[in-house]
Amino acid sequence: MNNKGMSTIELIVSFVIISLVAVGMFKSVLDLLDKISFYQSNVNITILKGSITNSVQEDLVHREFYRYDSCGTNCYDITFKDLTTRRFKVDTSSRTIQYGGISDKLPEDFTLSGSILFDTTKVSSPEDKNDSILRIFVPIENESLGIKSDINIVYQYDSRNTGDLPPLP
Amino acid sequence: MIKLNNKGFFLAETIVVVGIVAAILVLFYSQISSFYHNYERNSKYNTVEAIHAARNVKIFIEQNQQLNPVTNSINQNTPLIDITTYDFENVNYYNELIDLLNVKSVFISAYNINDLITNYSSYNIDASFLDFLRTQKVKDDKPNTYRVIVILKNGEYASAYYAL
Repeated sequence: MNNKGMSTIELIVSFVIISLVAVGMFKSVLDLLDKISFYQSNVNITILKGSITNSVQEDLVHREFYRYDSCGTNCYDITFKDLTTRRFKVDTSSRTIQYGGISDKLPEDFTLSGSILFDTTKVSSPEDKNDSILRIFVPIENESLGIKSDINIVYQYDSRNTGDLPPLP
Repeated sequence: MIKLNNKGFFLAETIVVVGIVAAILVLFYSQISSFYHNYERNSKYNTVEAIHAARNVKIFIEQNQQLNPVTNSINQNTPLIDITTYDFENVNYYNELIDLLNVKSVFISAYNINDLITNYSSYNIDASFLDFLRTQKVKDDKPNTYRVIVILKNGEYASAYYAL
């Protein structure tokens, strides 16, 4: 007899080795899928934040901010020195952030974690310097991934310089 | 008489193949992990919020033009200066601004920070700050141009530069 084959023990050992490698691979693939999902969520929310921040910032700078007024829950109308108005609104039911003609939906699993905040801080400053800071804050959170990704827009201006418009209180 | 001629080597072949496949997978996984670690690290650099903060601080500095004593003292021996608590004329406004921007620290440096990166051990720069500075390396130099570097409270970094 010329047995150069495999025995049962060799078979069993082979299967055990293959199983261990497969389990190791499986865990790595699952880890990788989790990381890809995290990465994708982050990218999506970053794009939304960039889009909203840029649009609002451009208007504040080029049209020159004058005042803001509340138009309901999570809704503010921004008036510029050219007397045009743009609405900034967060619709919690449809999970969208609307500014002017733009409407961006929050990515999956991201929610508004509080009310949006429009606030101006005035600090005594020399005549030729900015004395006010407008802050627009939208608290956004992904509870399942534990990520906070708030929108925080800050704009500096001189509240004493309203041009031909009546000064603000 | 039946002649069995099993030229097997099954176990050895299996081990070799499994070994090769495992090595490839480990290599693949380590590449993906390193890619992900780089992403995780770089996701803290030049974020929307941090860039916005850096630009706002730059606007303040440009309007106030009070940093000449600081920028004049930036040289090879002092390439990086912390201006988080700098005594501007309207320091109350400055403090409100950096608070609303969630800024933890503000630094001023020359536009070209290559020397700073090379000699980092002489300055109080932690590993993550150094990592960020390395991403800001430039090949050119711009005279009378300075860099505002902000570090946010959530650990994000960004820089903006301005010319005198």
